[in-house]
Amino acid sequence: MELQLSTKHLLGIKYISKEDIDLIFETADNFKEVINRPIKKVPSLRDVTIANLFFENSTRTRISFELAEKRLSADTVNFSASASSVKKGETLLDTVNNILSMKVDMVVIRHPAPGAPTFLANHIDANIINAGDGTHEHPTQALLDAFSIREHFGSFKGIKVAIIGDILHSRVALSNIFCLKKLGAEVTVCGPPTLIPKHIESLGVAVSYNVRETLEWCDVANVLRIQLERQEIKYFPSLREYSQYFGINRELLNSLKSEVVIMHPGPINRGVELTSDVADSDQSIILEQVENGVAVRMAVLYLLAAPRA
Amino acid sequence: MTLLLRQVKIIDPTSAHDGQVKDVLIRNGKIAAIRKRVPGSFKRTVAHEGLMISPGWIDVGTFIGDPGMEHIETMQSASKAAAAGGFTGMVMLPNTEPALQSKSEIEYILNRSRSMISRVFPLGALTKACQGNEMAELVDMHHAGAVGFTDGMHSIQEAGVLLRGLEYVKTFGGIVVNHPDTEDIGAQGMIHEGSVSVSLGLVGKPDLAEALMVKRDIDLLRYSNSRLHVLNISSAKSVKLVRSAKTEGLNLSCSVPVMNLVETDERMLGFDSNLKVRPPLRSESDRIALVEGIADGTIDFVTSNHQPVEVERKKLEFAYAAYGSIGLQTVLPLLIKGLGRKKSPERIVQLLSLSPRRHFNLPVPSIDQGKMAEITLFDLNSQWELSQDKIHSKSLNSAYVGIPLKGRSLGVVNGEKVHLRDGLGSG
Repeated sequence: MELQLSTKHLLGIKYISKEDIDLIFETADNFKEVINRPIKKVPSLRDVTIANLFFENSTRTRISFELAEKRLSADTVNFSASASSVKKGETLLDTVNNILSMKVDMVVIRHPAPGAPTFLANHIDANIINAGDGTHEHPTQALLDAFSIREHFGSFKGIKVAIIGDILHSRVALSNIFCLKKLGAEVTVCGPPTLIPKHIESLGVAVSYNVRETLEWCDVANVLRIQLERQEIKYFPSLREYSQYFGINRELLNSLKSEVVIMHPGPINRGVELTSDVADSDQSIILEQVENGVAVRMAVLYLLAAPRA
Repeated sequence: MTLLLRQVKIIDPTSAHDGQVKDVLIRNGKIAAIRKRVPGSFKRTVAHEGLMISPGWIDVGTFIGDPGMEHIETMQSASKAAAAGGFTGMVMLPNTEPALQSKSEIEYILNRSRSMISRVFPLGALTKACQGNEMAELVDMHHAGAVGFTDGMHSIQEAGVLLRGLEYVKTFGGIVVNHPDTEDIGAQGMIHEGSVSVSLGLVGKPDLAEALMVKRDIDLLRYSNSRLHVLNISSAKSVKLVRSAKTEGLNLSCSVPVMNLVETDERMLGFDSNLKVRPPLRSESDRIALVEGIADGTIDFVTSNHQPVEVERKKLEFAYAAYGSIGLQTVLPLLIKGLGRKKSPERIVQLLSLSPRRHFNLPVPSIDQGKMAEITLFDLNSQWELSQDKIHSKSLNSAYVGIPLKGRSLGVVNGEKVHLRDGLGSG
């Protein structure tokens, strides 16, 4: 393929163009076909070394990236903060420079500080892929979410997407907003007012505090995890109250005029933002999202590495 | 020591030579002659097209890490940076280790400062260790030479504490200085709360956090009938509050960091930690309101907001980087840029010298024959760049390294001590 991304890194959706997103999706279409073949591996990234640096816990994003890398035949090294020199007081720049001096071409980084991948991109010479930086962005999640919506609806024209839950602490929400707006969808964010950042309207989204009204309006509801681990201040009184007034259950869905597609970036707090009979229902495309995650990440890695070949 | 300044424009409303182009002869730290032409030639002569001079500039609220944090700044390095930036004096914050909280610390600063080209005038801690609780020994520090009282970078959170401070300084006609920031509003806010903070996923600091405290402080000032300086405001809301309080005739003054006249939060999109400052860079409408506040006299003067930070605490992920930017050497070009068409030499001298001196009771060293020489030399049109090797501060955390700047201070004379930019005064 001759086409290239406009950028050397994937630091966030706000830094890439609609054309970049379209190219990633077209490439992901091909890879989705590849990973459903009996032999799922292609040699595209042979001799490319990728470091997966996870300074924050992750299960699915990390496995998804690793699978994507392996299916492209890249060499990979993994690093996690719990067993790392970070705990011994080393700076991020030193840690990464040490790893780079072992000839690493690409870095996939998850980090609790917003902007950490941007900081690295300014100081080191490797392709940086943001796998989630604090409350800033999680671009590959937004790409796989949008890819799944595209797969389901065929296009984004006139598609109404609701993002429901903890918007304040969510990099997924932010990247989804940037991505969906670039692709032409309509977006409403919904949750308790204390979990919706002020000024979010400036990103071109509507705001609602009423889950029922929002579900009546939308075609797709992307339901976010309540980020208990990232809340130092109490933004709502109890999980019980949250699930009652902002959670989604079967009864609520059945009472709506039309059927809504349910998405969730995982991991789900079952019984809090989603009940099990919603998460596991036919309306939910949560597992398709996970499958698409591998194809989309293969596309991102492949396209960023392409100029090296 | 003899120094001749050839054909300089004198900007000093307190001088008989204000607005005139003259030769100024300085001998043994005094102004020996001001004439149309001083005959003869002198070993040290400054002749520079477009050169202006004014009474020495004063920076208010300078952070100097001495004592306790000498690895980021010493009195010596701060003094050199100040002289290079055109300042013959600094009104220093008490946030040292230990804090400037008793007469012995005040005397230490004054004694060390006596031999330096840019003199240091300490602000004493309003409360012990600048913790915002128990009042420090203000009268004692006043008699030792403290020029005002503040907890510096720690805004006074308890209204009662500030009120008692305002009342108590009336004993000696003193001034209380408070930087307004309600800490538990936007508690972990790192940048201005607005569309930029939202799109970067950073917790924002709303202008409300500042305005609430400005409003409270004005109420406390009205009640106590004392003197207050609101240090380093950053928002349109604060300008409005101060403007209306001034029309009431309260004894109130306020200042703005010069960077806030130039930069907005849009600059944060690149996560440059050198722009992570307190108060934060706010929106364009805030910036415009601050410039208007300068033009109509609501804001009394500008500050460098000089806050040295060592590279180990700055070259980090944005969220982990320490707050602050050095600023002493770039005040003039930023002020010129910020004021835009509202700039004039008279206004610049007012903002950098006469006004801060008046509010902190520091005498104006008039440029007249027979007076002690305390003079800043500057050129409003000089084009230059700050390079790392020209930074005199011990810390390098400036967002302006390698950026073209217009307007430069060319040196200072402070009594017997002279600092001139390289190549000047060789005669």
